[in-house]
Amino acid sequence: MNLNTEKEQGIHIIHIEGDLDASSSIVLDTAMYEAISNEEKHILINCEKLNYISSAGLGVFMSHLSDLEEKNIFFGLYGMSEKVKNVFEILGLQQLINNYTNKEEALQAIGV
Amino acid sequence: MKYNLSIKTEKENLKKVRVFLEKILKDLHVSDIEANQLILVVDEILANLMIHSAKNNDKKDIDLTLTEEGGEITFEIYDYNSPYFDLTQHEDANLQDLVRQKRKGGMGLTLVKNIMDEVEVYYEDNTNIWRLQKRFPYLLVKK
Repeated sequence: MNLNTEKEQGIHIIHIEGDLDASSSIVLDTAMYEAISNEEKHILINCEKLNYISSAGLGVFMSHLSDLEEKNIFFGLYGMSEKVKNVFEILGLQQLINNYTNKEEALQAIGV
Repeated sequence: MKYNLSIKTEKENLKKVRVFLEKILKDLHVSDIEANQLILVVDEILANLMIHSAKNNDKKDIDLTLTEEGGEITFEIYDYNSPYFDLTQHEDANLQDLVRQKRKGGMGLTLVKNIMDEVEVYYEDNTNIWRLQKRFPYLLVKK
């Protein structure tokens, strides 16, 4: 898995590429932790190139949800493929985590 | 048809298993989304075994078989030299609890149970044998 971050219009975007599994989820966890610690106001995850996600990847998002809410940070994912979205839906996570079809939709939700 | 794979309990091998299964499931004409679900199921079980194995500092071999017969796909995963795993003690993940407790784990086996038609664990000769089955009626039509 490859991961990189950028700031665009004041929004912290984490781009994930490849497979997010038990061996790679620690990298995302560190990136999420740093973004939250930096008191970012908006964090988006770009999933356009995310090929695969297991519960280890889902667990990273879940474990940060209460801190995101507590710090009033806007959080969302965009660009998930059908097979990745299906994994979220099996557990009903789409009800807990904002997900948007594409970046434009995500930015619109933020109000940019 | 029956396929076999033996691997060591190292997290780096998870990707190898996924690639192995992806090719077979494609050849069997399983749809992309359902193939991903089956790959996920095996990945989740193996990841659990690997985490447990790493805790005990004990790298070992795991055998995996995939059988396709009569529109059913069955995986068997052999976890050798292990204490008995009682699947009946597993409680499905409560999402609200996981969020409140800031837990990263706890969803893998729930995913497995939600995806497969049957999930069983047999214990024989100090080995937990995971047997995971799912029916795909459309595979019969495609033959």
